[in-house]
Amino acid sequence: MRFCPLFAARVFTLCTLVFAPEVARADDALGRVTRSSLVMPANSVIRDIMAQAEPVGTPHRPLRSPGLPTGLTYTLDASIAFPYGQTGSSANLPGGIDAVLGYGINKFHRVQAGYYEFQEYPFGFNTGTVPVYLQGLSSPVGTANLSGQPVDAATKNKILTLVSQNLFLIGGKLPVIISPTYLARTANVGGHGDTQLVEINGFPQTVHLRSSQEYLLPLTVPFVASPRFFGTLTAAAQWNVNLNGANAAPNHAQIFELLYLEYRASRSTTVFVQPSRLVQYFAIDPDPEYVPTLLFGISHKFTKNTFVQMLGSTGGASNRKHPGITSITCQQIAPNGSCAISAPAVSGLHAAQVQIQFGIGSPSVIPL
Amino acid sequence: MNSRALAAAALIAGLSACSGGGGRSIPALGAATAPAGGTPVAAPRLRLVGVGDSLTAGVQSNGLMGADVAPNPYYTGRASGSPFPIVQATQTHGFWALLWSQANGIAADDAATSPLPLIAPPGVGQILVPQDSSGSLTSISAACGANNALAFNYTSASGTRLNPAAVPYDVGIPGQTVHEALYQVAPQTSCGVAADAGVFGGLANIVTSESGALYPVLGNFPRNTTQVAAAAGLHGTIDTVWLGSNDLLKYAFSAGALPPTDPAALQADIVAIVHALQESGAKVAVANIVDIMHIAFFVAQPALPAVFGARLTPIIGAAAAATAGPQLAAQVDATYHLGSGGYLTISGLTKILTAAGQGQTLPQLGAGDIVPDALAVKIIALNAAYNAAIAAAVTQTGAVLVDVHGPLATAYAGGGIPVAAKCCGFIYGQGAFSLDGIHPSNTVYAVIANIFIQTLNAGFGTSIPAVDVKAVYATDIYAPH
Repeated sequence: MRFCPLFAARVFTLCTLVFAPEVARADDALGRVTRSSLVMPANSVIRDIMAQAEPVGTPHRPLRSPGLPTGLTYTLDASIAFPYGQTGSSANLPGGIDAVLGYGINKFHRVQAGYYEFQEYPFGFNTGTVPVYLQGLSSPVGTANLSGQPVDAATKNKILTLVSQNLFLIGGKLPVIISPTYLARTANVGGHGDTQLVEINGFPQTVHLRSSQEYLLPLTVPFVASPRFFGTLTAAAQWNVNLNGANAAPNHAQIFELLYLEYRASRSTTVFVQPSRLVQYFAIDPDPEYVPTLLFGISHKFTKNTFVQMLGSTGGASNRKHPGITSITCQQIAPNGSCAISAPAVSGLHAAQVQIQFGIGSPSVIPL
Repeated sequence: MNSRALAAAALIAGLSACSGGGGRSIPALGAATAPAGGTPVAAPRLRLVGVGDSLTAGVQSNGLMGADVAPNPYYTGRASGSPFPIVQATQTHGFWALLWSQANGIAADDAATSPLPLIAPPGVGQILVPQDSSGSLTSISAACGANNALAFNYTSASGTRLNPAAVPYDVGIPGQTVHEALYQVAPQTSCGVAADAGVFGGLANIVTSESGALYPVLGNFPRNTTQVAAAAGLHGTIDTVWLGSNDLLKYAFSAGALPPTDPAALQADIVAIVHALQESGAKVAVANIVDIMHIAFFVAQPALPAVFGARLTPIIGAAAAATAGPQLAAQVDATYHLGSGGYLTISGLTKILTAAGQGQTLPQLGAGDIVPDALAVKIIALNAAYNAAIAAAVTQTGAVLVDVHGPLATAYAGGGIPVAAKCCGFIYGQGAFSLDGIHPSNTVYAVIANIFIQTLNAGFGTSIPAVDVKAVYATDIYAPH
């Protein structure tokens, strides 16, 4: 038995650990989709209904019968995004697109399908030092410096929503939108899919890191509406409808909460802020992640149907101790003494980014 | 326990690719996993299931083998040749095989009815044999030859078995720690990784045993089945659990560099194992572990003068050895800083004597060759802590404790296990251990079997007859007569 250099140093870099780059997963992408597909449509309806909430400079017009827009509508935009914060990587984020198609059956019922792409670079994949294990053994055999050989954790979330929007008027005046929703998401990570061998509860398992399917039942109501300010509250029951990986059964309903507040600086320019507590439930999560998220930004309409919007967002799981990779487990030692197969253990995530969208339609009035 | 090579011949190996792995669909922790191929043999009286390491598997002399090799290729029939006419099977002499045979009235060496995963000669690992009358050891197989070339691959591992269609009831896997019994799902290395290769070479050597034995033992179960999941899938009436020795040995063999298992974690794992087996319908008996530093593989520093003197006597004569032995011991202590509480291993001893015989200076020794006294103190403390943890786990789960530690510690203090006039002392060659100095001789396996039998009879109301230890001793090739 020869003394192992690993044991002497107990420190080595990630260069000996070979694992696929698809290692990132969620932060606040769901928040942005929620805003786009659930909240903003509801907001636009509510705003439209509440006559006093017309944007600054909008000619006052008589009250009309409230209702959802009818007929076919669409929105299309393209975006670029930049991460900020200490990601430990200089990798660029990929571009993205959003496409939404809606059809109003009547003024109380509307259906909408949306496809959204959101980019992010989560923290904790290229920074810090984590323990290294050998599969089966209980004690770590060394440590790995994650900055030694950065993996590409640049993530493009791809989210599909199918929404049925239903308008209710409380007392004939207060609009309430209830929007039963099916949401399916997956992602490209590091330019590949999101399939990754990870260590879950001591076992290696191949999962789709950032794929999930959910049902949501959001309810949106206004809490402020004035010429300058407009705000809504949304709460939604949420169910993970495809248990897999580490997901634990029974699958209890979760509640996500969201507040939206906008300030209209002019007829064409709006500033907004959106704090929320999202719920995410991916294959590596035995229980849901609770993700306090803050979105903020500014939108500007060049013409009636063209816009630019800058959106900042940041969020991280509050019920996970460390974001990103928490350990690496070597599954098999190669004949040359390197690690032939390794799997990271991944915990809750934290990411922050800025997205700039250029589109047709309206960033805040996605047709209902 | 972790199998260790003792002789240079057993340490030199060619490098070959022995890949494992494959699909990665993992069952839930402890979930009973039914066999995927083969049929369990009949258990006419008592369905026993063995969970453990090399002690449960029946390792001796650094290997696992289910049938004799006759004749021993090194046996010449002359006085100068190997004293072993055959290379004896190991598995059938293990305590668990004896326990099964006593409980069911069936010999464990018949491939058609054996509850053991019988390994075809020349076994897995590298079984040691004396190659001549001097006692110098060699192996009957290469590290990556014969069965070892098949053992690390799920598809080919059944080729190592004499009874590939028989689902074994003894699923003990040599080399496994407590945690590995719960979590190991594939070989962690291949055969023949050099200890100084890459970052993980040293670690590969420490996990070679369980990596090479996993598929030969669990090959009847689906990929990614753990030992405990397989045991649960067998739905035994009484399951025996004997684990923990490798948690100490891996710590010792890494010279303390591999962090030791935390006693609390070991207790939690034992509890998880027992619960998984109980949920499968079994009553569970859990054995504690012997004092690792009492096994023959570790030679205490104070004993070195006498040991060196005894080893040198056949070479240079008793008178010269009486002087040279203490001198060599003092030189060793000064060179390797063993300390009064330290140990030299049989591996280190062999290297030193080989160098001395060739007129060389003391060789460079590494992890696995020496245990300095500071490390020995930690190992001894951990040994006690692990036994306390096992006892606590037994209390916590309602299992039955098999106290192997107590009787053997008493015997050690008394100078040996009193089976016969010449047997069985704990010092290497005095009959308690096989040629690796780690795993018991046939006789001591029989003694251990009786400890289990006595406990099962008292704890579970069985009436398993005791093994005739003297009869076992009479044919024990490892015991002096």
